[in-house]
Amino acid sequence: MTKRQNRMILVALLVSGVFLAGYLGIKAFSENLLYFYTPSDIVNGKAPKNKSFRVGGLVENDSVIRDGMVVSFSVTDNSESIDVFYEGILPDLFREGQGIVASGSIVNKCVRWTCKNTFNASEVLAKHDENYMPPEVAAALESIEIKE
Amino acid sequence: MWKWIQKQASPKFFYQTCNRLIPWFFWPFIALFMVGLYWSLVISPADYQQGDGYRIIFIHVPSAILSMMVYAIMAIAGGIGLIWQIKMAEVVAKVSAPIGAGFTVIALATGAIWGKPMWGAWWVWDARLTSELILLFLYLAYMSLNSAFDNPRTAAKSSSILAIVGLINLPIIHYSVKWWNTLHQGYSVGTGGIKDSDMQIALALMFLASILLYALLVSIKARTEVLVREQNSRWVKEEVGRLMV
Amino acid sequence: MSMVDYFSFLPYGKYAFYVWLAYGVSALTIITLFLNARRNHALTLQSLAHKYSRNK
Repeated sequence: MTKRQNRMILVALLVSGVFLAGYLGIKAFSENLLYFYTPSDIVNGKAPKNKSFRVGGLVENDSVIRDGMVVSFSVTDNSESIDVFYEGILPDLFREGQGIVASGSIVNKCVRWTCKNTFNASEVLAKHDENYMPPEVAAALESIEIKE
Repeated sequence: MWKWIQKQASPKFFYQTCNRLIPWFFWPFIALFMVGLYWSLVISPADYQQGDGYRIIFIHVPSAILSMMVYAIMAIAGGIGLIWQIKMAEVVAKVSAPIGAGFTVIALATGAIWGKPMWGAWWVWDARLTSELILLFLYLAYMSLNSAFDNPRTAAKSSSILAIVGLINLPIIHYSVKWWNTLHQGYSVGTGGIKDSDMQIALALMFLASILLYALLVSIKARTEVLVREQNSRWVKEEVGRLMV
Repeated sequence: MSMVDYFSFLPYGKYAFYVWLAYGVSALTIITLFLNARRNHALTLQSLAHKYSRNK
């Protein structure tokens, strides 16, 4: 192989690499630009319909009901909330009050006479916050908050 | 001032400076890295949410910062080479690329290993992770473009332009967690997100060690690159003769 | 997740596998970068010495 051919191959690799990066970038920044929608987005009709998407928010306190592998809970952004159903293994950080991102789609679920939009999740990921501290500090901070 | 810069920028002087600096980077790096590891793995307490799993932060965050910092240095050195025709700036830019790519690989790998137990997934296509992956592709493109030319000056010119264009990715990586809803959490560093002083010390030590590692690797690699570029000059012949007796 | 359980005897228990894997991968990358830089320098010196001795 001559030097010239070598160079041609490298430039071709480079160009295809840039195209691949561009493709991945456009893919990520168009459909997944918003990695998740909030419950408010769903209520306001901003979330996609008849298509799977992700919803993110906090797991509402006292909303988690486990029945074997089936879990139901509601996700809130402190103004709106939506019920989520999921069957499978949950990440370690999943708990009430924790931020999560679930992917799936909206289904209209009817129990007896009332029908309600619920989110049928195929995957649940935990979103942790940017705070790191030992448990004692966390407990101390919490007690300060309660006093206030 | 200009004289001083020109003296620094002469290949022979630059080579000698690198030679002299290597032990000054190596031993402090080893010392800081050891103390940093001990502080990260032993002294720092467990996290209130993630238990001991959060300890990956002490590698993940410094290497992620370095992956961006090295890219900025590479692009700026490339720009200096383009504008002022300073050959040693081209050398710094060229040898920085594989080191920066190394830091990017570490940041991506440790992030994936951290994501699996905490988030529940090795990888997600959110804006932060995707833009960091594009940074890796930029490094790889820079390296392959740089090695595609026989003439080092031509190679330096074209790859420097690529590096400067790619600078746009740095603010995208940094602000991705602010501009878009991402699974990746927001800033911990510089916002008081890390509330324990031992955790802060461990992170600072590992960050300083990473900077020393970068400086060390640049000095070693730049030395080699100068010898190759200046192989027809007399001082290189003498130096090789002296070293290879 | 048998791998995770298998390594849980190490410090950090249920996270041992992930923490040590992350530190191990990073150490390996750093050592590779360092040794590669040293090796390139030695090889360059050798090939230059070879070239000069031929031209004499």
